[in-house]
Amino acid sequence: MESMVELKNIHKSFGENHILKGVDMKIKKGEVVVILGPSGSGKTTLLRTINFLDSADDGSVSVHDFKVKCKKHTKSQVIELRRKTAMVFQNYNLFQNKTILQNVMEGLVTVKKYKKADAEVNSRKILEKVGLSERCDFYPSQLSGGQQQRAGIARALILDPDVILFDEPTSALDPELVGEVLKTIKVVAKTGITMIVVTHEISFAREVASRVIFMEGGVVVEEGPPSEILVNPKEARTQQFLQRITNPDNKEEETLLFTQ
Amino acid sequence: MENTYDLSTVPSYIPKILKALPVTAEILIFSLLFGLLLGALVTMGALGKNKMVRIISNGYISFMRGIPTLVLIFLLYLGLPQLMVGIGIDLSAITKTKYIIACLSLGSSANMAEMMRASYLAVDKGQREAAYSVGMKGFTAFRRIILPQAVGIAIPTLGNNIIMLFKETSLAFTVGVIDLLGKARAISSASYGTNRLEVYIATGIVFWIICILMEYISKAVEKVYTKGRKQATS
Repeated sequence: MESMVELKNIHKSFGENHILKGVDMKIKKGEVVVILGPSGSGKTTLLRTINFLDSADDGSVSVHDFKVKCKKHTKSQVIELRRKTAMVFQNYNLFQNKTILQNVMEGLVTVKKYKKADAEVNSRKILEKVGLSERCDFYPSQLSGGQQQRAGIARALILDPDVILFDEPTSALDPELVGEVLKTIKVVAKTGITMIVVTHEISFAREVASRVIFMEGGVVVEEGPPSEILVNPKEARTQQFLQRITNPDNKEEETLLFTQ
Repeated sequence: MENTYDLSTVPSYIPKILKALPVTAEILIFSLLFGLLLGALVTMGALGKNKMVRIISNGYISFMRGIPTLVLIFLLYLGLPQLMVGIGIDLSAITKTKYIIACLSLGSSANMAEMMRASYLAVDKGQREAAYSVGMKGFTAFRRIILPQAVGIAIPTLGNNIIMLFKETSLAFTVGVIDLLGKARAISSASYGTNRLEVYIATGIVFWIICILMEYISKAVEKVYTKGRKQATS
């Protein structure tokens, strides 16, 4: 079985703070993996160790059979790894000095060495798919959050990566704009590309995920198909988390507050 | 009491003073160029990985910002030749204008370095991460994403630094360079100081108007350069 992403024994500390405590993960080609977990559980950090935006202290990362040891890695290994992946950021992080079209073209031109004209044709096609053909010549600051995030998705997609990493792609959005972005991500998911999505959108996980991973305290607590994890979680911590997220004003919390 | 001055003659001095504008312009342009170059080097040092280089760069910035330009001019123009003669090097061939350019370059390089460092650090770190995430190498990310944004941020400060530098060119008269102020002094001395008030008012007006022009140009450049891409937040 072909595994697209493989993480082994990932450890990461920021100063005294031990964020990731030995995470293992195997993700097959075409899987859509959703990582859930409370804030501070290390899920975003884990995602960022995959493309070495944060380099893990120990363990190894492999993407499409290209393995990098976290303790001993070279610049060129990291760049090669990054070229097999793409990322969609919570705050979009579109290049502020470039138009939407240029944002999408940038990777093709500088990294994949496409001719400008070819890059432009391809970029316009992708931007049409995410519904932004009217916005090609706008700068990021002139667009809504939802539009910016869809451009961010286009920028990742065009590189034809082995895996796309989504770091809370809807968390910075106004509630009314979340829908359009989730819809775009769902379309992308259907194309069969491997995706790892860190999110708080349970309904999205239920609909799209082929596997859900629940993390807390820097370790994987539980994983399985969404029908299992989201409906009948085995672990108490998972149950608690899901209850809080789906039913924010529940009674158990209130009584706890009053009795303390 | 008799008036010893005649303000109506002020405008007539302006064209005479402006005859020295090429000298001031030469000093300004070269000091600006060298100041920027030196500033860029020092910024690289101050932001670099080598600890020793960082300490030296920060020390340099601190020293050059702390020392008055006039003191620097006296040190270099009067002190350096004396020092060099001691080891058998004759600096008398160096023109006064070159000394001034050297001093102003050194002095402004510290301000330029501070400007560059601040602008560089002001670019959101997500921009670099995004560049890396699409697979760019460090230098490519710097050249295509970080630098253009840092320049946009730096333009207002740069305009300010140029204006400060322009005003400091007037220190050139202290070593006898006939710049705008030197020219004014020459005109005033030629009439034994009887018209000094009018001449210096004219000089002030000349500096002021040029500064207004510079400010206007700086704003226009900023507007054109960052057209449409002002960051929505922060």
